[in-house]
Amino acid sequence: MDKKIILDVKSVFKSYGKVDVLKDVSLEIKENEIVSLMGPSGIGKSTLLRAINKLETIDDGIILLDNVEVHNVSYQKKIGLVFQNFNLFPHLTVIDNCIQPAIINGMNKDEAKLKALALLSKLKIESKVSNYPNQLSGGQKQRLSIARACMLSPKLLCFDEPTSALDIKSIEDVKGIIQDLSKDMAILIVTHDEKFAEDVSSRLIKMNENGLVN
Amino acid sequence: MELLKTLVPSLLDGTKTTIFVFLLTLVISYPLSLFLSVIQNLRNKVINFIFGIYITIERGTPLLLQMMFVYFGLPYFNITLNRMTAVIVAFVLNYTAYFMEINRGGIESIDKGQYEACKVLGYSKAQTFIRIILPQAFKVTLPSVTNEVLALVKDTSLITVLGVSEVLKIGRSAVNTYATAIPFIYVGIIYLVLTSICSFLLKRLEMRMNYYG
Repeated sequence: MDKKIILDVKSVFKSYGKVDVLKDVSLEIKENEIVSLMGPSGIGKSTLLRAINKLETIDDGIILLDNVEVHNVSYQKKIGLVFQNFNLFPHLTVIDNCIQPAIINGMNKDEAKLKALALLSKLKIESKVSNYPNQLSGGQKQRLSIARACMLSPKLLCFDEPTSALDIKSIEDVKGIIQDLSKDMAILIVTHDEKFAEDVSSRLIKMNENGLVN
Repeated sequence: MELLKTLVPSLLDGTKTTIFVFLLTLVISYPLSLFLSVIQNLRNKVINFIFGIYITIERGTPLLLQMMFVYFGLPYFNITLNRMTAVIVAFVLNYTAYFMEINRGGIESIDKGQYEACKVLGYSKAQTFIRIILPQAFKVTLPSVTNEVLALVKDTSLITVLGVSEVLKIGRSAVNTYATAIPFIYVGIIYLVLTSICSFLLKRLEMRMNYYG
């Protein structure tokens, strides 16, 4: 049976002034797929990732997430994003970084706490629940960022340059984490790290001036 | 020592007035500045233009002039306030403007990644501001707020020109009555004690806020 399409990007255009960044970009990602998006700097990979996450508007085209147009809803809970520099909330503890966004999205506090503890345990940072982000290593910060993004059980989890702030050991760990996560969701990774992309992805897409090449 | 014993009751009365003006100004102007900073952050051009004029006037003219305008000037517009109300209105308007500028600096120093994280995590604009931006901005602005609070303690001496019996006015009267400069030293000690207490408490607060980097 064919797997369900989770992300469907159809003919997306985006320009900044006279500079066309995304020209007729289309992309499909199916459930449980790990897709890595590669290409030279400034080609529009991050812009596409940001547009999928509603951090950028698009000039034309459609982005469907689980058959719902992303830019037509106020907030899309079915998507999670792990930022390149994590963007954790420095004044909240590890567990509150996970719990607060979930509660804001309507999750019961007890349920949020249980889910956060389960996720932090799965990501092996359960011993750090009372710490603050500045007390974590780069790898631990990324795990926390992943846990936070997974609190609402997204159908698509996006990673922006997941290896850029990590050492070799942490990169190996994150490979395993991403592969494990893909059992429950689709994964989209924007990266420059070719080896990482080849090792972790089920599909690798290269982006150039003419669009996307599988 | 005899002089000190004689002056203590009146100096204490004056100190009470000084503390009253200080505390009332602080508890009104700081929360008010936070509220106005929330509105300022909505980036409405008309509202922010009005805020801009207000802040320019309040920061660009002496507090003494503002106080005199509120007490002696407003009656010409059929608004008459008693001395203490005029003092509080002038102080609150002035310090709210300064605190708003401090808040603005703090808010602008927060990394835009924090706003983006909030957006992808489904925070509303108000939730982003109240739960994420403001607590971080508060920490950033605390040293500047401390300076402003110390300035406020000392600025309370200005109310003497409206004839309010605060500690400086009582000290000056004592200097005239007893023909000695000693009461000024007592007044100076009182201000030093008040500023030292504020400084100590706010430093403690700063240390408590250092729980994260």
